[in-house]
Amino acid sequence: MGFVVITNNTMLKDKYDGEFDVLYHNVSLREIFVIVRDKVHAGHEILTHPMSGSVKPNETPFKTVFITKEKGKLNMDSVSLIEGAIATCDKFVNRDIDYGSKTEDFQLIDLSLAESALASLRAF
Amino acid sequence: MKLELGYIFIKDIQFGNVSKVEGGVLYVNKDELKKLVMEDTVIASVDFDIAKPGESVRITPVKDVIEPRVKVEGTGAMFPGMLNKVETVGNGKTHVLKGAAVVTCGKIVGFQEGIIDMSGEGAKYTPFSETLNLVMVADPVEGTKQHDHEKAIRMAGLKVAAYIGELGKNVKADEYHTFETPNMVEGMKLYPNLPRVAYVLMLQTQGLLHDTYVYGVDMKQSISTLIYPTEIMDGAILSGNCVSACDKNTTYHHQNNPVVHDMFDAHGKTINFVGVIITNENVYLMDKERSSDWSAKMAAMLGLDGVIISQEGFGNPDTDLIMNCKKIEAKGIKTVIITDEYAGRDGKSQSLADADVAANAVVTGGNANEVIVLGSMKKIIGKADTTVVNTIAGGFGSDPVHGASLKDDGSIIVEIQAITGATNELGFNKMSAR
Repeated sequence: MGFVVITNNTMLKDKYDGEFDVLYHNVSLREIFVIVRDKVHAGHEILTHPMSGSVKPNETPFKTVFITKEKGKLNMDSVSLIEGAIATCDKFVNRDIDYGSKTEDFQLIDLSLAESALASLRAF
Repeated sequence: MKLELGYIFIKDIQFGNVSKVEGGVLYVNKDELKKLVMEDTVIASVDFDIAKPGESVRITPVKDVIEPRVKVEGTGAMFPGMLNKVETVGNGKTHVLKGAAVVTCGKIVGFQEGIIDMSGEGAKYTPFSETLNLVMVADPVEGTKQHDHEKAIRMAGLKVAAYIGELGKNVKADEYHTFETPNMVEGMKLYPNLPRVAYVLMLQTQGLLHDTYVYGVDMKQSISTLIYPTEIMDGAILSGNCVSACDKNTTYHHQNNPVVHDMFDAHGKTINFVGVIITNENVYLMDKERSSDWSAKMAAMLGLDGVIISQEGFGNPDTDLIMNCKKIEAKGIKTVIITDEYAGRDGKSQSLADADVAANAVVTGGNANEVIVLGSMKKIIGKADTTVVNTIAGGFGSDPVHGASLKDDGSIIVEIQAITGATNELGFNKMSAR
């Protein structure tokens, strides 16, 4: 099965670009979800949970989601997952925190969550 | 499998020249403990402090809480596969220093988790305001990578807890409690008319700061499997989870899992407690399908009538919870699920990221978005400056209603998700409708 990854995490892009398709967007976490939703509407299927990690959507700025490379029929499970993720995003209040150099830690967590899926992803 | 737990009730902790348990008092030689922790070259400095119930003390950021225990009889040793060899535990006799806890504390990454207040409003939300806490604050050498830092603090906590637990090995316990799980054939003969009920224990398994270990195995790399409930009491499952203070399961939670204890209480009376199925909460959706298929298959294989399912964490695990629930229900087996909620500050939003009509019996640990004011404390163990308190999950830099979390007088306004164990999804928490 072919897969592509949608991310706003440069740490992941720098590590894996060239190894598999990395669609990097310099946007917010919520905007990543919207891009994923549009891909789902176009017929791609979500492969990793958009709400990965216990770090809250108003806490981490970074998000990585794997989707299928191929397009098929609209997948309703994927629609429901990504719509749920966007709704969850909107229920958390804005925290207005400047993490400064500590954003690297959030990138690393996001990378680790994404990599936890890679072994199984590649097996199929 | 049969395990006898001997509770040695600890009434006080003091630093002293000789580490020992005597007359219900735990004496700890601080220098010995420091030496033990400093064996790991990743650790640059370590200190210990004591926090007692009712004191004006705030501990933050909290990583793990561990109950000191020691194997007295039977096979294996505490924290098998991690601190000791991988031999099976859960049988024989184990001593517990009941009332004492080892709390590990310190920054690991840029964002922080976990507040324990020993008195005041916050104390009402964490069970660890009622334990006598030996708190370890440790820092790594400069340049230590986050993975290595997490591991060093996790292992130091286990070593300290095992060292303290060992002090109770030759002390007479105040109370003994016996827990026994017969094999399946014996169980059926013993209780032919009781419903066969098992516990599906979901473990956090997503990556750095989100992991759980079973006999040393990173549980995300396992398929769902069976375990005796008494193995869990002997440290077979331990926490590598540092995120989501309110609803993560610390090692203490695993050791004292209240679902396991309540099911043992009901065993032979209203149910036949068959055993525990442990499963994971991976990020990859196909892993989720495989693991929940497996839980349901095992539930059917065990001929169960009912199952209790508990989850750990928020968002991604909601999907595993619902998959486990609906697949097990589809086998004709009744389920009750235990979760907590992120329902927004007003409690009006959708509580979980997933739902299904099969999830018609739900127990909640509470709404993690509830806002609370924690008064100032005379003493802080760890760090409670703006870099910790405002950035903690549930804290804020400048909220339109509440301003910044940390106030000038040291008081804090946060969502209760910042408090260790506040909405625990095993039911090991203080909020209740009872």
